[in-house]
Amino acid sequence: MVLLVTSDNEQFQTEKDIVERSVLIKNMLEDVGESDQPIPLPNVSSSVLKKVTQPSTGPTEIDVRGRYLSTASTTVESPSRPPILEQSQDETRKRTTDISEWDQKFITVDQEMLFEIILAANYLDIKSLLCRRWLQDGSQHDQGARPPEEIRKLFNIVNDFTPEEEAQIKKENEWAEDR
Amino acid sequence: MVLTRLAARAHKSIVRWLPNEILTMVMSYLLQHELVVLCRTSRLFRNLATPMVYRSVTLSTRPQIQFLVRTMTQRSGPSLSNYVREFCITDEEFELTPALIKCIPTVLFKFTRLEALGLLRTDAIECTDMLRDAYFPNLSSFQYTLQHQTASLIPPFLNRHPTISDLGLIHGPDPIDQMDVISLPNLTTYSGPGTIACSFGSDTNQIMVACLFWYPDDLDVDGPLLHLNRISSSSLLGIMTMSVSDHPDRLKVLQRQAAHLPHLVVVQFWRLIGVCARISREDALKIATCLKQFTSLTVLELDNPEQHNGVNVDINHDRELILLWSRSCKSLSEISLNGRVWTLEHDRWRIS
Repeated sequence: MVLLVTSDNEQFQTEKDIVERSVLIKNMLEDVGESDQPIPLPNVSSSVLKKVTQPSTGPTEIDVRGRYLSTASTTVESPSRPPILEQSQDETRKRTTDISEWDQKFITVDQEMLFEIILAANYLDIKSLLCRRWLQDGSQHDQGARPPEEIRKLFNIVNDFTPEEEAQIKKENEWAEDR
Repeated sequence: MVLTRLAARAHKSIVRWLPNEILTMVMSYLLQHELVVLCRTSRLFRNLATPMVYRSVTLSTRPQIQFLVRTMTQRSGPSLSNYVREFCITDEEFELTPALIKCIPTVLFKFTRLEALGLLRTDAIECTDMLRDAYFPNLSSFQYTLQHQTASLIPPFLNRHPTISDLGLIHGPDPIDQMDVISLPNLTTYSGPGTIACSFGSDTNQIMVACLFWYPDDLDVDGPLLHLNRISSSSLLGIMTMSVSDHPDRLKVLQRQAAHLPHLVVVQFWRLIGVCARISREDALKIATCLKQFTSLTVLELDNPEQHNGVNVDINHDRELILLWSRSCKSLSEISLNGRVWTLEHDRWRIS
């Protein structure tokens, strides 16, 4: 077991093989050798460390994925939201800010958390699938890939294609679509 | 670009503050059909994801081939074809129209940066022009199904591509005639008929792993092994032999390997799925006699553990065989038998 201390002074007893997914910590342990001394992580808060050190099949994944899915289903099922493709760009922007306050707040909060996680992954040098998770959660759907308009909503991406351009790209890459 | 909290707060969108390097890294974990959707979300995502979508092109249905040919013959085709590094048409059974059969080689010529080419459905594709004229300067892997009528074009094609390090050849039931000399100085992995291995020239001297197929008509067991030993004895580490049908001289192949290539480290000797009967006491003793001749053999695979159908599950019988063989060859530390992998740990054989 390895003792980690986060920026908010919380201590974590963590399995060695889990913390060694971080290249930073792995190198540190190799340099220092066996020691009971805690390892300080001044750039990582306890809430983020919990997410980062969770095994990939653990509750974090279900948690993050579950919340994304719930956001997405709200987006899909709401009949008052026509597909973004049918709107002009101005309307799209308006629509994005029009998303219910709860959704908006949720996306903002979650993006901050995602930022913290990516920042921590970057600092700790973890080349795990952690980063993949948010993009895949965004791009994967229970029945195949999500439509692009849903991904744009999830990540606040502005559609800078004309409908013709988007149709052209779809046609161009048709050979690679899942079948 | 440095990641800071300030930069993050300045933009509402997560993708606006992530550097392209990190976005690219994240995308490298995605599957192809996920990348295809990302290409349609914004120009930034399209620019980052398109090279990844086209890097590896694997086609296994007729519509896929039709769509790719359409894309490659339109205006953006030339720039997209520059991204293609790996191209493979799988051996799935599907009908191809005469027009498509003609188009495929034309498209192939455009992939000038190709590193890996796999054409496993050559019964349906007219490859004569490609084999005669095409040149891919960076080609390192070539997997091909030999056809009787184009087999003579293979040696010149291979000799034009000395960069090839991984070669895989198979052919149908008709035997292939003796080929001209093949010179591949960088070849490290060969998988194909034993008879073709005999065509490798003396400068094909870097082979480390060879998977040799024996077809029912191949009666010369010694020839390919002796030839490989002659040209690549210093580099050769492993040999895998597979008989395409249940070759009557299967055990003879192992005996010849022991006699001609005693320095091998890995020997894979997969028996055919469905016909791999329980190894008799007599055969087990013959295998043990072979094993005595190997000087540094560490891995012996008598089955493909991933494809085994679960027959012969008597562990005690297997353990007896493992102990018999390990006494014959002290350097052994791993044996695959009847779908199980046995390893030697602290002087005891265990199933891992």
